[in-house]
Amino acid sequence: MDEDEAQKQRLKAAVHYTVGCLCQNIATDCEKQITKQTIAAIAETAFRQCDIFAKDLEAFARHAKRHTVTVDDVKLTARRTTALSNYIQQKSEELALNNQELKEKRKKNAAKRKSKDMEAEEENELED
Amino acid sequence: MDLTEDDISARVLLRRVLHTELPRSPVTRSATNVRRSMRLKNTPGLESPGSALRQRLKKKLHESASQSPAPSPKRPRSTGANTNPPVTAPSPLYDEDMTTRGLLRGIIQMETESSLLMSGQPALQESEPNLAESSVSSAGERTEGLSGVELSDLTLHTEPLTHVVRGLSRRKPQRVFSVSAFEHQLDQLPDNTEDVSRVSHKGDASQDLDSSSGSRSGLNLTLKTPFVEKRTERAGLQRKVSSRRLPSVDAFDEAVQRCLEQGPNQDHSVFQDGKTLEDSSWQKFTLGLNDVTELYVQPKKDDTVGPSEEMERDALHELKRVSEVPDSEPLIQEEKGYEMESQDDGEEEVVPSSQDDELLSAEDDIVLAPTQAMTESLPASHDVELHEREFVEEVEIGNVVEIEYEAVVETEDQKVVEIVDDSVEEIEDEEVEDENAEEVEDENAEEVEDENAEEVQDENVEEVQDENVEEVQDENIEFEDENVEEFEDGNVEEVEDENIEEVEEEIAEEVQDEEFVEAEHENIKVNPDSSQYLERITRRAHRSEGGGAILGIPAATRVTKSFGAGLNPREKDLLDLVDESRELLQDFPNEEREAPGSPEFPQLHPAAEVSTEEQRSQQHEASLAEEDVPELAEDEEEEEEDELMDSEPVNQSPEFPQEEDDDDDDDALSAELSIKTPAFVRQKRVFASPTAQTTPTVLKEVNAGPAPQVAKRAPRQKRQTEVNVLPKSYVMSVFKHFAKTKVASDVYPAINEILKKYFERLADDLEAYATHAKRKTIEVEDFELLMRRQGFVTDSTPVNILIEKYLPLEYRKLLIPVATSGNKVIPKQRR
Repeated sequence: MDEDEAQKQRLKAAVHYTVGCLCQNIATDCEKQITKQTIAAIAETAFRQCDIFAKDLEAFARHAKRHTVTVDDVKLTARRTTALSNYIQQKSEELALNNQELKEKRKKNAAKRKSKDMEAEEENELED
Repeated sequence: MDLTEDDISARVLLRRVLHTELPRSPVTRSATNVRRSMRLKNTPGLESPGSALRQRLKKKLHESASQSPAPSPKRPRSTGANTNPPVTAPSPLYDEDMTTRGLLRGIIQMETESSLLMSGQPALQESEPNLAESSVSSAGERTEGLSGVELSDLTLHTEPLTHVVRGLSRRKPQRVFSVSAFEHQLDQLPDNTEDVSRVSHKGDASQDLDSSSGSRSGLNLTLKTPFVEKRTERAGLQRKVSSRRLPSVDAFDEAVQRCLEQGPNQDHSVFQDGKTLEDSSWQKFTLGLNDVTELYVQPKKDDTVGPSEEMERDALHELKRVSEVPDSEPLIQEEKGYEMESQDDGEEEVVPSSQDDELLSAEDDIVLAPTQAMTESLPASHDVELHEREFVEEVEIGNVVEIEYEAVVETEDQKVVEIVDDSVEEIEDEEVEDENAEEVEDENAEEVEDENAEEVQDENVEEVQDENVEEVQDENIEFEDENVEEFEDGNVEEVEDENIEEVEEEIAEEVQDEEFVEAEHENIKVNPDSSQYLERITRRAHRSEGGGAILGIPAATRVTKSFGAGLNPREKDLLDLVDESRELLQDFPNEEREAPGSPEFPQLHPAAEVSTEEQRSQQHEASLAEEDVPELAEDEEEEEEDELMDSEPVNQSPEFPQEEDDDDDDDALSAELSIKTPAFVRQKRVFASPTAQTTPTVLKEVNAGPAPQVAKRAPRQKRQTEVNVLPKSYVMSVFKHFAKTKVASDVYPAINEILKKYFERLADDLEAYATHAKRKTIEVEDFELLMRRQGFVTDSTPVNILIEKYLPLEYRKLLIPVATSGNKVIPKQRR
């Protein structure tokens, strides 16, 4: 249990640090200052929201009778926020395209290799 | 005592009943025993609890009697020797007590002196199994709680009686009141009902009888609920009726009858008497010559007459067609077509077969003169009109006919009129389709239609002006493809807007050829003149008829609609007529209405009128059936198209398109629609759209299935604001209970909105969950997931626990296999 707690504390610290950096960037952009309490509140909220997201994602994956959390689960989680859902949609499409490209490349490579192997075999056979 | 007995007959009766029970029940002997015990000793010689109670009651009676003048003489008796009073006084008292008189006396005395709510009715357990028992137990407690008066016995005895009497007495007046009030409320606003129900509910609550109050409140609620529904329907109908022009309706009826009486060929001549289309071009239309003019005339008359609902439907169809035909000629054709349709409605089955052949031929020869076909169709249409009035077949036929209409339209095409018809038909088709199709489709269709409508309108405008059949045909073909899809989805609006012609053509080709053939036949019959016109008319007629036949709207009504070209008032009338017809024909499915409306419409007026009428009728239909939503859109679009096509101004159109615009996302459509669509139509659309959104969620929560609600979107627009998610009394009572403070009634609208949104969101989430699981049906596990997300179900509180906690035993047994498992905690029962 302590280990879990310690782990949790470390995670919280990491989140807090990241949130602080982001807030500082935004503050410089807006030319305003952000208090530490604000950053702490935002960090805590983000941490708890992550917890909720994780539980929801798990529930959605289980609802679909799957053991793996996929992009569909994420989309379902973010469907309420239009901006975020659109963003996620775009990202998912990009990823899909990338995956397809990678697959095509692999297929080509595999085909080339196969052809080469075939040729090599033929040559060997011929030689033989 | 005597006086008191006489005064309260209910109590007396109760007492008597109770008394009679006592002797029969084990208490019988106790009656004597009681007497004996009483005689022996007034003191609580608790031979039996009943006897003891009775003794106490008697004492109280005596005491009360002593206090009052009448009972005074009894007092000494009571205070007197135990034996004496018990023997003498008790005997009579016993008799009295045991009898109705005694009990009543006790009750009256007790009640007058003590609070009526005194519980603790003993003794009469046998007489009143439930009440008595509960009352006795409660009475005991309460009597003890009573301070001054030793009314334990009396209260115990009297309570059940009193309670029962009270309940009866209160129930009767309340019931009567509620019933009468209910009736009154039917004619009045819903608030009255609510108040009544609330009052009655409150009365019940005071009864301290959960069962009784619950039953009463439930009774109230049940009374109220249906009332509300009725009221809304009526209100909406009434409003619509009032908005219509009576004279127009009458004229329309007359015209219709005239047409029917005279027969198909003669109808034309009769029509001449009626109002003529504004467009002189109509008269120029020489397609069917006689037929055309006649048809043309007829519809106009119908417009003013204001047909019944059926007619409205027909008018819708006609309007559709009319809208399609921008030119007067096309309108004429439409009219004829509609006439045919109206006539064909009844004989759709028969006609389609014959028409198929014609349609097929017509399709082949788009440009050819369908005169022959039209002439042929005329007689058929005439028959159809007769049949149209018959709603039975219409529904089925409507669907088929609609498709046919589309086909016919396609064949005819080219003419803006056709487009108008298409739009009209589309609307009709949509209506029919909607009815048939599932809600989802409707929703999708509507959306699609809206989009298409915008596109169509732009195109239509162009097409309308273009008199080239070929061009139009081509467009129509393109449209048809779109339209076909739309029709399937129920997007009549879109089709109409774009190019009725195109749609018609496409539809004819794509959709069922037979159907189109029929439509064509119908149209052909209607429009004897030029091929193009004829084709279009036949198509329209077919369509209108198809729709009309389904709806069974009298031909007259339809006719009016078709000629609604550019005539706002006429359109309004027609639509009103349609609405009326709809109202009248509530029983009939929307399809039926649509079918009769459409065929009639083309006959009556050009697209404008038709569109408006159709729209109105559609709207009306929508109100009646949820399917109207897409129709309305169509109507609006059609009207616009009609207007575009028809030179006749459409006053209402500008309003109408606006409504559509609101509903439709298409701005282009809105602009055009605004010009043409009548205001009311627009409003209807507005209502329709929100309804559609809300209905699914509401239904989901409250009723079964969002499907029926979605269809009713269009017509319900006007009444959308009046539809309450939950009964006001119930909502307010629950709200007040949890608020624990005073709550004003003003909050109900806000709560209603919140409830609407909540249920909508709920349904959307459930749908998303079901889709996520790659299912098409929402299952229980979807609900479980939802509850988990809402926080009701956690790792420590599975659903079964919640079920046990909140649901009655019946549901519990239904939902949990083992309802009485030992490892479940029974939390406190909350209301």
